[in-house]
Amino acid sequence: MLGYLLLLLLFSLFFSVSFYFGFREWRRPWDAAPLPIDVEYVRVENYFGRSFRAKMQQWLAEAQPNGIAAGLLPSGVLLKTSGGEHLLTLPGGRLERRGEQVELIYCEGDLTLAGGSTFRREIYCRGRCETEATVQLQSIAADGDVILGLQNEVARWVDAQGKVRLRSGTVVGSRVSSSTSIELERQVRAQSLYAPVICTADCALRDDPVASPRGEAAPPITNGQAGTPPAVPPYLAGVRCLQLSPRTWLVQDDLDLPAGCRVESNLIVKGTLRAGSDCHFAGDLKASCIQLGSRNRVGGNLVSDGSIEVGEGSFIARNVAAGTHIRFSAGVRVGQLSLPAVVSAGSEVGLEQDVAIYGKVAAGRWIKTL
Amino acid sequence: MIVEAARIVAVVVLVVMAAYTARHLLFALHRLFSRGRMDYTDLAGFHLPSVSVLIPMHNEEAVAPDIIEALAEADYPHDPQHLEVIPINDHSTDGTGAILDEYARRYPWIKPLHRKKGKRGKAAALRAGTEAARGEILIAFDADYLPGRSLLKFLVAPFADPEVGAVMGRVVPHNVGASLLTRLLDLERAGGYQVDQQARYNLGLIAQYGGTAGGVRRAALETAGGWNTHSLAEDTDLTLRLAIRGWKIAYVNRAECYEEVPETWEGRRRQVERWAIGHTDCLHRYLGPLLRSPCLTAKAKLDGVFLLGVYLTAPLILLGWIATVILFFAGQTYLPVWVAFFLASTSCNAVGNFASFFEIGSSVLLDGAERRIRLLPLNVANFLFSTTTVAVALIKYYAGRARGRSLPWNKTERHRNGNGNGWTNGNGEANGNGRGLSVVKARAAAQNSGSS
Amino acid sequence: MVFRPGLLFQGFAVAILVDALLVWQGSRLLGWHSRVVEALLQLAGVAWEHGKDLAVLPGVSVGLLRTSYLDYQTHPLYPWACLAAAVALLALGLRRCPLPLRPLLYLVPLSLGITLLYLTRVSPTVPYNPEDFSTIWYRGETYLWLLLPWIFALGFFVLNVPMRLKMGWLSLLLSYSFLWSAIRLATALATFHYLGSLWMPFFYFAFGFLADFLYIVAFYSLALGQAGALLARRREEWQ
Repeated sequence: MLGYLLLLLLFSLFFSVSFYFGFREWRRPWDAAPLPIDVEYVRVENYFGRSFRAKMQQWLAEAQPNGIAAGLLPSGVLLKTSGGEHLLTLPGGRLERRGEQVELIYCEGDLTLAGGSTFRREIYCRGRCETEATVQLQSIAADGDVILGLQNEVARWVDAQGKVRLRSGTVVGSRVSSSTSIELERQVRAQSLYAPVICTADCALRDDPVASPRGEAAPPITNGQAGTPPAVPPYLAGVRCLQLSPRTWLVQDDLDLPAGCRVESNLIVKGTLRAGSDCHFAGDLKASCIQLGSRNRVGGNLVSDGSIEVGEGSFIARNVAAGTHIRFSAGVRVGQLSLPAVVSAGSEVGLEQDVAIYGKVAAGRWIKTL
Repeated sequence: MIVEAARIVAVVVLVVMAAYTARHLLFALHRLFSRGRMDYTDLAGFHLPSVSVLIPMHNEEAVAPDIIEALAEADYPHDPQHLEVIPINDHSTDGTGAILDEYARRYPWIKPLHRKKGKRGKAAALRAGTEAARGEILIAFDADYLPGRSLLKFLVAPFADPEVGAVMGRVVPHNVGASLLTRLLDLERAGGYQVDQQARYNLGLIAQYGGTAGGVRRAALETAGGWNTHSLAEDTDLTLRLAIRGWKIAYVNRAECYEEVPETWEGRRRQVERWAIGHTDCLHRYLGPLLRSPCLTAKAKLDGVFLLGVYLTAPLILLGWIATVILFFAGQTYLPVWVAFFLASTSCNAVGNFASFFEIGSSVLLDGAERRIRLLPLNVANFLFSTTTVAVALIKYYAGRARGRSLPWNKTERHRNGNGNGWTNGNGEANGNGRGLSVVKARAAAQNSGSS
Repeated sequence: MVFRPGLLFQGFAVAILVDALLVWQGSRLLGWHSRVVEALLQLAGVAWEHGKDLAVLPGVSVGLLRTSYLDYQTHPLYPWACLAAAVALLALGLRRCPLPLRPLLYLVPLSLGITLLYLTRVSPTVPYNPEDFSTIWYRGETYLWLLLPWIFALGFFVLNVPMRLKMGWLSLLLSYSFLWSAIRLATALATFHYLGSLWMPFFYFAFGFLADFLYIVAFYSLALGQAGALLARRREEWQ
């Protein structure tokens, strides 16, 4: 019997293995804190630039001199922070670097970066910053304008209080933000853009008409009582559709709208929506795939689970969101200066010349100017 | 004949549980490997419709100040065209009404609604609040929630899509350290939101509107018939009505909000009982319309059936146990071996099938909270408790149905005290650690300074 | 990225290989299992003899052990004493036991009561002798061992952590499973010997696949915790 009891003890030991670590975690918690949610978080579109500037001010305040940057024009002062960061401060001028620049750079005035240079750390320029061709940068923040030359590569972000201009062939790995405007020449790539005005080459900004007032008026409380069946709009005649709400129609197939069509309600198309030229949509528009002809006007949001193609000279008053890619033909305008909008694609955003977006553009992969 | 019946029951249970296992595995794998569906977070702050925030309150003096203060600090425009907050004082007998009136004097966008007559309960309160509201989007919060400053912007962003009828954010337990139960519920919530909800949304299935930390388009609510005051699970009820009519429910993982979970097993029992009965009631109301809806795809309908039937698995598992016992004593484990294996494994399903644990494990890694994963084996207690509670609750429900009776709505107990500075532990004693809005903000500040 | 689809296929490949190895060496492994059971039975003072050979899988067989169980005809009070003890334990423990664990507390007297009902009303012996019980056991456990690599393939191999970590935990899990199976079987047979077949259903349901499920979850959580810590160290700073 003693042997049996020993066996039972062994049995209990092995059985308790299943619970031992859980029990220990319960009694002596390693992690019993709530998952962190930053309740103070407020989205700041130029977060990178702002936080870097703040960090730079902190470094400048506590860094100690570490020598003169000899052999470097313009000559600067090398500083070292208590955290081991190396900082090069410059009064301004043209900076040329044969090898790689591995220090952080702080410039008091205007700065020009010579072509072919490589800068592996961030740059903060209090004035205007301009780069020549084929410069490689980590990130750059400027209080003035930023002009990136041909074929530049920025690994991360660009932020300017003045305007930002990206010349042909430039690639920015992350966000480009400006408090003034962003101008993109052809063959430019970035992941996201934020500015009051974002425009591509040959863009003639004009006073766009104010979009028609949107937003549904609060419908009266009906307690779900049935009323008179609504009339099907003429553009939905013969199409399988149903009405989701007084101002929203759902079409269960593809939909082709002829040129000049006027749609007053919100429209959801479960297939592909193709609109001819000069169509006018007063409300929000959604489809699996959207192809708008030229000179279309959309007063609300434009949403697709797939792709969106907007024809020449069209105007979208509010946001554009696509699950895959978006392509804006020449002359497209999105948003307004007084009411910025977002263009967001899961994959790519393609922008032809003379496209202006007031607000933000974001892509899962790239924004490209064509 | 009994043995034959037991064999049939056992096989049915096996098939049903295998189907749920496969579903959970699919969700977890899809969540891990597939690209997320468009979640509209880029539109946060750019799509700003008019919003009415509804907060049903019944004797909530302990927590009311915190949520009001949190909404005061929200970075949503507080002008009349954009925001109004309607706390609904629903038959309170404590100081809730006085607190709300004081805040209304301080902030013009707070418009309390005091209900002293009429049907009680959350759904009735929401209905009354909806009638008073003017916003295009209605956002509901439970009184104990602590919305962050950007939460409203993240919640309303998906409504730029005209097909979206409701939006659900993610709720995160705030009182995690209060007891073993809260820690286990934290794991359960993580699996449910980070993996399950997100996967259902990504797959184009029916993501669930949870009735709190979520919003509904007013036009969609109206066409769906408004809040159902006869349901114990008005959130599931509304989810089904919206989905059947063609509206989408968007899930926004980024829209996170702290909530308070039950700290005692008794409180948890009441909560699960309410959910089980309310949910199963929805099964009876909406299974037919769900299957007949012309607006849902076949896979959405199939998942809808799984969704509606989830609480029925508890009594089914118990039946499976009984069947397995009968088969055991009938000497039937000599069935073809694979059946014998899975028949025995139905006993495992009472404590959760492995796919559920896989969901929780995956969510913990996605959240970067791997340290709490060791609690996972103790979650069998939670599963076992829930299974028996649900089974008992459904017996009560069907007995009540047979007699034409409905069950009362039980409010979940609160554990925060009135000044937002302390929680009580499971025994009702203040633990002095402090929760509430001030502590949450302090923790957020500490995390921010730690990361810079 | 924490998860990669390619790693899922890696997991499946490992699962196939491990299963192949288990089948190839199945008879030898089950032979070792038997020897461990024999040793534990010897420790417990339970006499055994070699029984028939069981073909668990094609080409995989194991020699079963034949032990005795307590005959209730000659010890009629034993089952009632066990039931009474279980009921007393329930009554004593009910107040102290946390609410979520109470269903488990009911399990013991309920199981014994049902069995006793069967023994008094249907048949004086349960449908299985210890050799039959071993048959059920070996079949179930063998299938579980074949399933374990697939469970880990889905749950753990999908993580972007070193292969040695994955194989280490899988090996540990299989080793533990093997040993724990032998201990459970030996304990079951010893219990039937000393306390009779009244305990057979309880062992089958509570310490069969339920116990398997529990340690699988425990190992999964430990492995995931270690993997998570490794992945956390790799996470990028804000720069």
